Amino acid sequence: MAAADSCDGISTSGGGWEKTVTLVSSDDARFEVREAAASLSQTVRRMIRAGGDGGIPLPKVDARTLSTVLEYCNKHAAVPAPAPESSSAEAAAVDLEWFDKELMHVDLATLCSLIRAADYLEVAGLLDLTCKTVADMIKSKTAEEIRQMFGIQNDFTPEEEEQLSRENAGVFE
Amino acid sequence: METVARSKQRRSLEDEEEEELTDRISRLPDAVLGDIVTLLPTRDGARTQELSSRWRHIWRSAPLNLDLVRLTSFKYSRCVRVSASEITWMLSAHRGPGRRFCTELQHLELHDRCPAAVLDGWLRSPALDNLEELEFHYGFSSLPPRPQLPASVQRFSSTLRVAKFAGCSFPVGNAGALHLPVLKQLSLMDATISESSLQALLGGCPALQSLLLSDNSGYSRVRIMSRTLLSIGVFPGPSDDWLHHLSTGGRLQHLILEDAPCLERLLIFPSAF
Repeated sequence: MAAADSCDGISTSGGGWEKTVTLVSSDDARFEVREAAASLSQTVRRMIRAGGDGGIPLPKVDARTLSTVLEYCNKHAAVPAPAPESSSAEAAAVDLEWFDKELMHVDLATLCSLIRAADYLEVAGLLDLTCKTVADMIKSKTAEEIRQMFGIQNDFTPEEEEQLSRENAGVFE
Repeated sequence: METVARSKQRRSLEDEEEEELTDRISRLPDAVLGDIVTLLPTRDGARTQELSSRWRHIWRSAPLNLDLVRLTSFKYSRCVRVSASEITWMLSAHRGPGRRFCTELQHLELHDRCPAAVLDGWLRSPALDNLEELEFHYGFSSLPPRPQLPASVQRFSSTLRVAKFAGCSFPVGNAGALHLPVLKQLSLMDATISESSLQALLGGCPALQSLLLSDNSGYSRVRIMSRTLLSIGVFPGPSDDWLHHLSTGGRLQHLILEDAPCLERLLIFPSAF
């Protein structure tokens, strides 16, 4: 396998003796990643199984998004299987939770890119995390507040809008 | 955002500026928007229909998460009861499938209709097809005899992962026993069930990991034979006075762990009565 190009935003240290794979983003950046981390993506896992040289092409994910996805995968693949009730397992879980929270401190455009990437790459944990982040943003807000937050155009006619809020009001308000 | 724009230099700058203004959330695939909506509490989820025509159909086709227990307690703070006809409307508006359905019928306005029939009707709704989590409580007022477990529960047998059946009675004997091959979590509360029915029910849950038996009546003994059970919680049952009132007889006295190699937790609580 060809040596990976140097790339900002991803650490390849600590991989030591572990098997690695090279992922290639839509803008041709190459990332060398531990196979265990890359395999958190079901899409990548299938492509590893299929074999092939010269790195795995991921034409739907740009370098910036891919580096964040891989940050997530590296962190989550590093965690050993939890031994119940041991304090180190508990600490690791707290650390992961903290890591996830920090990772979600991004602007809306980045969050959407991450959701698309997690969906395409089939990284279930990251898709859950990003969808939960959006759900938390929507929770307990009025329709108008949500539209403003996301820049959603209200394309209903006044009649449609009235009918919709009447239907919902019957049950929820 | 700038990095994304720079990385796609082939496209004109004008296109990119246009893109900045349009909303990216709405352009996510339907399945992803459905995932997001399913994570929302019922009220918030239904409200997303009002956002735009793009969102109009998402809630209706995303797996339904209908938690009437939460909805009702919210209503209670404003002294309004959710009426059964409103729930029926909501279920008819949704295309299904269902993910989770929770209700406590004593907190609903049933207009003197039989709670068992109302619940059975709801559970037959296509909105709840392939339901994964079902929790219901008929309430304490409906005794004796307690209303039966709705026959429609059977239609979720291949998808149900979490079940709480409360305040109901089970048919006597093994006839019509449920087979719930993927059920992981089962709670029976304030239920009337005979020893043989309980054994048949447990036998029909080969993947069960967590079992809660709380204040049930009708059996004095239960045998645990499960290679998957991780935890068991037991509230032994109502007091003798209460049992007399229920006229169902029997409360749990013997819990026999015959074969439970994976069991990690056994919690026995004093009776709630």
